[in-house]
Amino acid sequence: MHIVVCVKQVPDTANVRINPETNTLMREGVESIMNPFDEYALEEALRLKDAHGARVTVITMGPPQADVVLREAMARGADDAVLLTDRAFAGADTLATSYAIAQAIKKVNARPDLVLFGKQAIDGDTAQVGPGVSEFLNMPLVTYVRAMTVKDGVFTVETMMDEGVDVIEGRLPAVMTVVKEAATPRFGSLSGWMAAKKTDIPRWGAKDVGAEAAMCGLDGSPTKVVKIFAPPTKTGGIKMDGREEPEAAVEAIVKLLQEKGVA
Amino acid sequence: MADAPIFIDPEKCKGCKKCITACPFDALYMEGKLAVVKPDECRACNACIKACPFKAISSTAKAETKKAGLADFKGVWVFAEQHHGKVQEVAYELLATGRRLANDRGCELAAVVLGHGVSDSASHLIAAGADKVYIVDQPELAEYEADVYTDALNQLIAKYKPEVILAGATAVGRAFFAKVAVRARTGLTADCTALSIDKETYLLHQTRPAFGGNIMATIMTPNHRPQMATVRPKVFKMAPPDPKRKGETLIEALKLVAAGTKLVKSERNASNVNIAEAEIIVAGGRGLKKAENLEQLKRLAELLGGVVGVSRACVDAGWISAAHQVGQTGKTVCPKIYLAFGISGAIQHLEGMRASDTIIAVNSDPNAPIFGISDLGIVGDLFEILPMMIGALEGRKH
Amino acid sequence: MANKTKQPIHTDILCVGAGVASLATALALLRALKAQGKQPLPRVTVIDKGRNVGSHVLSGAVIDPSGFKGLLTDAECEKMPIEARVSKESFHMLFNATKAMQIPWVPPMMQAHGYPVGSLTKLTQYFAQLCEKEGAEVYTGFAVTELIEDAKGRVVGVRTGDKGVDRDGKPKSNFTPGEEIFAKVVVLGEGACGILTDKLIKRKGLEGRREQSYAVGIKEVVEVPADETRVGEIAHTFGYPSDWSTYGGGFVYHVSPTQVMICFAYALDYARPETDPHMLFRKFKAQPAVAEHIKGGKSVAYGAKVIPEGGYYSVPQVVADGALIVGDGAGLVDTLRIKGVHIAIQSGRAAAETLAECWNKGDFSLEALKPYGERLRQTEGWRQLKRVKNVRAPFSTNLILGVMSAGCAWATFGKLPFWQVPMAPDHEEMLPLKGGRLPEPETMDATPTSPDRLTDVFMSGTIHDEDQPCHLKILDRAKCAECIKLYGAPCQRFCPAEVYRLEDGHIHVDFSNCLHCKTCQIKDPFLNIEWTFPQGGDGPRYTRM
Repeated sequence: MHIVVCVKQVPDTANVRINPETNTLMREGVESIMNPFDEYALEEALRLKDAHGARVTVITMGPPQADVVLREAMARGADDAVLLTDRAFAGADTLATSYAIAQAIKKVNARPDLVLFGKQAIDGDTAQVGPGVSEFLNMPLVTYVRAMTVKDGVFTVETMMDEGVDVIEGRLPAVMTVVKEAATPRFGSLSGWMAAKKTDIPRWGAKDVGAEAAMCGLDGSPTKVVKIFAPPTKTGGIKMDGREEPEAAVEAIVKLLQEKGVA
Repeated sequence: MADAPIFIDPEKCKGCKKCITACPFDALYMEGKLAVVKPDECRACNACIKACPFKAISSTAKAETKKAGLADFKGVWVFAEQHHGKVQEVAYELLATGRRLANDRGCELAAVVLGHGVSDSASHLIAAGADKVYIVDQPELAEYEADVYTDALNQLIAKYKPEVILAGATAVGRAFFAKVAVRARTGLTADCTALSIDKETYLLHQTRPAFGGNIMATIMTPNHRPQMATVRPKVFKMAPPDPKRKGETLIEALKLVAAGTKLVKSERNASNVNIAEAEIIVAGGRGLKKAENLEQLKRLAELLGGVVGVSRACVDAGWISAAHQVGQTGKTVCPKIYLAFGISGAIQHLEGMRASDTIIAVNSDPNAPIFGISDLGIVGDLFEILPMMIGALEGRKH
Repeated sequence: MANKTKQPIHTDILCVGAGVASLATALALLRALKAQGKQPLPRVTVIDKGRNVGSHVLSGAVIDPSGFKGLLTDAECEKMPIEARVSKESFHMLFNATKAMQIPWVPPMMQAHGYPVGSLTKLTQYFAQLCEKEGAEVYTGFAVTELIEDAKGRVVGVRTGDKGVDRDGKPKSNFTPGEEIFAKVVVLGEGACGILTDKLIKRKGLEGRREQSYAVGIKEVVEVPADETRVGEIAHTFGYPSDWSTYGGGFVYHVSPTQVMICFAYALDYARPETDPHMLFRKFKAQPAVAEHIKGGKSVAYGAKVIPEGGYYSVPQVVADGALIVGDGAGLVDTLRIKGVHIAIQSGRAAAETLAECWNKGDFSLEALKPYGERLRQTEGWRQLKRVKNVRAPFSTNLILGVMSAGCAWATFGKLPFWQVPMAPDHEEMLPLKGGRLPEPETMDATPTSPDRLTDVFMSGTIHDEDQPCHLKILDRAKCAECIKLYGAPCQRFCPAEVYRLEDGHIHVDFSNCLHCKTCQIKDPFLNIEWTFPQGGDGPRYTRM
């Protein structure tokens, strides 16, 4: 079995802020991490490797310094890695990204058994690239996987739907997105890191994966960012004293809930 | 090698740095006295072009020849998601917004239903504002399946060419809608919190949060059709239905691909909800004082159709599992309503829920930090107010 | 399960802690051997418990550049991520909350004109990059929890901590056992109050003439409205809010047009149990002479760490069989100038010289390592330590005596006072509550430049997996009861991270707030708290301290 896991290096978004005066992203002091959802996807792949001896390849699309997340994946147990990096990819929206990644996956293996993504990247928050790649690879898509077993090429997964869990079955190959309710990601061991540091990671550009220029980067992106701004900061609205007359307070709360269409 | 999307004329640049300040992507920097662009970081948002007082910056993007045939795409569509024959509320919310967009655009509003045993949903959708309802009522559409649903919707798009399609950002909507967009080679913007039609270009403005809600972005799909967007449930409001409205119903019979996967079992019940996706959260903190008092929170959550959240103190005390913890080390939530009882609002907690649409807080300490971000703050005794609220809501049920 | 029995790892030189001392050792060693054309080169491995290089590094810092000469090329010095150079210095005596006086001249020992001033975190990251370019391996996110000794008591390696252990001590699904790394020599660069270092010193009887004493440094980075004219301006203060018999002072450094570093350091031999160093920090910031530096600003980062203050008399023996001690772990801080980075680097270079010789001879025995101690004593930094060996102690009596003694020591190049001025261990100095009652705690309104402690903790980025054993061990709960009665549970106050909380007569430990500053282990009057290692990678995430 050959599993390809797509990971992304993202800023630790808890700390990303926009400066409301200048409308700029304040990047100082923000560190880069492996997208948390991708950690769970990688863990699913590694569990299948433990159980079935699968080969796990990790891919990331990003600037040259994104190779850190690939090494982290290898420290955890991934077998090999590819860094997809090219100026031509810069500014890609989800369509252009899905296209480029699908091209890279095809070059890794014309027919991988399983392609895994984290449900969404915590910077873009779109959850679109996994499904997009399933289109370009023409493989069935299963989303929001929290548990997976594979037997004789047949997979059984539990997926997190809005109001509960669906159990889905199908035949590999497939593309899946994984949620954080899945198994806790393992750590990279020190010896794992030592081996990962020594590994040469190939870099592929647009030409290497046969990606057409018109489908890459800004040129290949139907969506365009027109404006970025800071969300309105909450500054505290109405404050009521509910100590003397709690009934009035309760009324106010219920009224607000009604206004919002909730009560 | 791709050049940067913008060009800074070194003859005209005066080093005033206004472009650097305007750039939201940190893509410009000073080299000596001239501004320089980092081609990898530039997103062609053109904010710098607007900001430069000396007109030193221009776009290098080839004037995008408007793709032929864009004008053939007409109409605003809403994908009306249904479960077991029942159209989901989010569809009605989107129809209300869709109606506004269609009016602004001067076009028709249509609803699309994929399912089995769904033919009688048309009347409700028309009452909610649809001029047309497209129904594909076939057994293979009974349960959501990515390949089949994608095929169905794409066939309809190819046939009818809508200019805009909206769908709820539900588990179903977010998944197959992304496939539909890629198959149609068009743009999709997820989780929009605002939608409007540009008065000059008639393009759809799609506004959404990014970076976990720490910034907002407005996005457009100028040169591809349909313009697609998903919207979270409860972001927009439903309009009161108008049963007198008239509309057309078209039943489509489609030849669909085989399903790629099979649904074996569905265990949909409220106790499995992931609080990070919940729209209504009733939360408690240290002020609850005892584990037993969480029962009242659970009751209130039940009455409102929401879930229980807690601050770290309750998890540390062992009253409830960490799955319900909201905050820096717990889950980040963005519900429509966040009711906080006995939560002081230390920043570690606020970081997990500050993106909530409406925050209602009850705390006995008038200086509790949570009052700094609550829309409605009650200084009071939660042990009085909580039972009274439960009583009031139970009363309304009858 | 990630549970595989691992083979032990072998390296030549193992550095514990990726601070400037360890990294200087690694860098100097590899460069020296390369210059000699030596082949093969030793395998040099550096391990740090922080998530990234610099995550647990905190300092002022105005850096004496003498440490770099000869180690870094001019081009490398140029590229250092420290953009500011000290351009203006001032020294202030704060009398009280409102009155202050600028000392008309800066005491010669404090003068630092032209010195780089900026973030030690960033400098450390830069050093790590240089080290890796030379071939050293730097690994972060792994806590070295034990030294391994052979039957003869020689340090032969280290053990890293387990990961993925739940709060009850049971393995979780992602349990990853610690690993053993064997080395020819272990260089201990753990920083101030290094756990393994202190244990080794005790075990081998390596103590200096006096027990080490510390101050706690509490620091913020404040973003201020852009002002290019103030870059490089530094100010030091003493007096308020310290009391007269406690060595304390603050500083403000303008490191960029938009960033100011502000810190208050307070000696941990303070006497009053109700003392709250974080509150002192806030009062310091509110003093008008200080406040004007951060006017209109917003605190954006926070951290705290202890600073060794014992100086010359507290430096331990730095060589053991199989191990060397470099940097703050050996207490190499000039408390008068409040500078230790350059001495740390010098100690690393001295260690590297010795290790180069050992590598060439193939001999890492105790005898072969001993020259490090001698080389350390030849460094300029050591001479500075000796000169100020008695500066700190008299301050514990009172400020006037301290100032006089400092001036005297400086003027006589350390010859006077020639006796070792005594200093009691920090934890013994706390006096019981007056009248057995805790006075009303002071409160201050939170402002953008004066956040409350919990908000400050948030800005340190500190994060710990909460499902793990509490790493702060209260050894004897019975002693807690006594401490609560006598001192009013001072852990609630001396911890800059609000880890300890007295509730219903019981001390709750919110260990996930911990900044790894080590104050609790030092200041607890009953020495009832043992700081142990949480999971590697946990703790603060300093990025620009």
